[in-house]
Amino acid sequence: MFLKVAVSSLVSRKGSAVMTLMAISVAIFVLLGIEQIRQQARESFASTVSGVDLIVGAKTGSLNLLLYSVFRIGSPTDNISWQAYREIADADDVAWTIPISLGDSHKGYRVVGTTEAFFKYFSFGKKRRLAFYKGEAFEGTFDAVLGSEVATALGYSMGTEVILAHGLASASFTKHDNQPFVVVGVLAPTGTPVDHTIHVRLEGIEAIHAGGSKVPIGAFAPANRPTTNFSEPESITAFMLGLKSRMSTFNVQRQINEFAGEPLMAILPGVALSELWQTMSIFENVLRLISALVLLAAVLGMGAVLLASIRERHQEIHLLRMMGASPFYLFCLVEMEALILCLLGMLLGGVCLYTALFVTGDAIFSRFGIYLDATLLTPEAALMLVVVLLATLVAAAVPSLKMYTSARNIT
Amino acid sequence: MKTRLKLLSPLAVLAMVFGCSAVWAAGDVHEHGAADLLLSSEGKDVQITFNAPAQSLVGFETAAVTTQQKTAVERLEAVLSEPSALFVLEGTFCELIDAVVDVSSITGVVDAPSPPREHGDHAEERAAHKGEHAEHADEHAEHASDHIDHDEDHANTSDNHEREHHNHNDGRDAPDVDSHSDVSATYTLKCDSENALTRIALQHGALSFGLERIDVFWVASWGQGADQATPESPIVNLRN
Repeated sequence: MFLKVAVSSLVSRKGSAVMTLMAISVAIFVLLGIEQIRQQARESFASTVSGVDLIVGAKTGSLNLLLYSVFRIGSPTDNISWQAYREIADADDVAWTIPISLGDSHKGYRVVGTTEAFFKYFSFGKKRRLAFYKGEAFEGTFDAVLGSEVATALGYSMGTEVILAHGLASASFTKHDNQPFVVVGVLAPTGTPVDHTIHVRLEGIEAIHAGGSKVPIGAFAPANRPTTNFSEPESITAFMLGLKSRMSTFNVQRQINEFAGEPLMAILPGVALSELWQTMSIFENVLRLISALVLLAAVLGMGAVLLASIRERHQEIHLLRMMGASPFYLFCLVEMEALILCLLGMLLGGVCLYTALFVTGDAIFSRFGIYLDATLLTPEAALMLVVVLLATLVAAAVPSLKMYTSARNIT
Repeated sequence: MKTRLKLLSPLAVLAMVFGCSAVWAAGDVHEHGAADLLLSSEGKDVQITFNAPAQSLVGFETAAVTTQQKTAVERLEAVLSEPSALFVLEGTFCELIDAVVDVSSITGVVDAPSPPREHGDHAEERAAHKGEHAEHADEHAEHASDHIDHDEDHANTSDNHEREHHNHNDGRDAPDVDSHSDVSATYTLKCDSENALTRIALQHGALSFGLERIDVFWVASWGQGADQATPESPIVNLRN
């Protein structure tokens, strides 16, 4: 009965009720949207590399190793000898490895020398494998596979010739212009540093450095033809490895950290990534602050609209009083109306948000590199909604009291 | 997508300023007052290794010589043999299958190196040890003297176990009176549900030694992570 009266009262004031509902829906949409972005930006960052058990490089800080091996930022302290790499890669516990050789660039984009294992085993996000937008993985020594951003920004496509430069500056003096690489594949967007990278075979990197940049290399390794008798590189910059069993992760990490041959370091990429994210906690706090302000604006706005509506409701108050409703009943009536509006607003805002995420998720990903899955409520978002409900009751207390006092004046 | 790179440049600087000095290489750092807890989970199997500086647990890092020191080592072994007093796993029930406590670095027992055993032998040895452990759990209250004998068996078992590591690791774990000594315990557990762990709560037993913090590292199907447990905040959320 009580609920029915509250609903009928709201229906009788359709105009202002709909306006309030819209305001709350928009606020809930923004509130949950920001929370979703905060949560998923964190998850997206944490899974820049997934499925890789350890990253191995020369002894340095764990973040430095992560930055240069995954994000291509900064410089390695030293290289790893090919012999040490092979020794670890051939160990019983190791299932696969992805060697990484850095040092060259093309128009400011980093070039990574690696093997086919990169396309086979590297995964990101929720264990998503790399996919090709065009073409396929490199086969020949001088084949190149571009990250999606490189292809878009430089306007390259299949068959384009790419001349690598020694070092990282976009205007390097030492160019390996004796042997251009040919684009054979373009990767689909990943939202990770892979998008900004040019991938070539380790052999290609070795070949262009083999006899100095001006020496013709055709005789050394025929272009675009798989090489079987290629001499092994002397060293690589780092490598990622996957284990046969996750249970051996800490053991293998310890063995690598104590590797007798040379000073090596193995890091848990997931741990290093979350450590890196923690340095960005201010970013999360800013988002939380924005959420709090949006919440405040929405709740205060609803309180104001309800307060204003009390003025229009003198007749209703009179009628209800004549029917025997107590002032407390009227107090509860306004609170109930606020609660109904709030719950409807949550429902509407939530449905709109998840529909929007479902429809625009891919577009947001390709534009901003963040996956915004239409996932169910996270515990933090659920807590936020509870806070919104409580704040609504508090904000509605002012118009409710006004209603209460008005009712008491009518005897 | 440029956003990400733009975001990463200041991030790199931040990392250099705040983070690079921190070493999160699990199990490598000997820091008094701090212990490591390494948790690996795969399916229903969970393995937990607890490493701590002997200094923080018993107050000395050399081989136990005095009666008081030997008693302290025995007490430590007894505590480490009962993981339920050290930590509680939440999310699913996990049964202890095996516990291997290694205090060889402070018992002063340095046996002549023996040939490394085959894995099969080692597995049998662990199975036998498992039986001993179960028996030990049943009779713990009544048989204090048996308990000590058992611990000696335990130590021998872990000695053998350690010797095997020794061969892999260039003698890192060999007791050395002149260097820092670590004590470790490895627990093998079987859980009721797969990948259902949510939190690990460090218990009074683990924190009563005066450890300032325990660095918890985990590798599991849902990802890798690390967090710190302190006496003030003893619960670590493994789903961070």
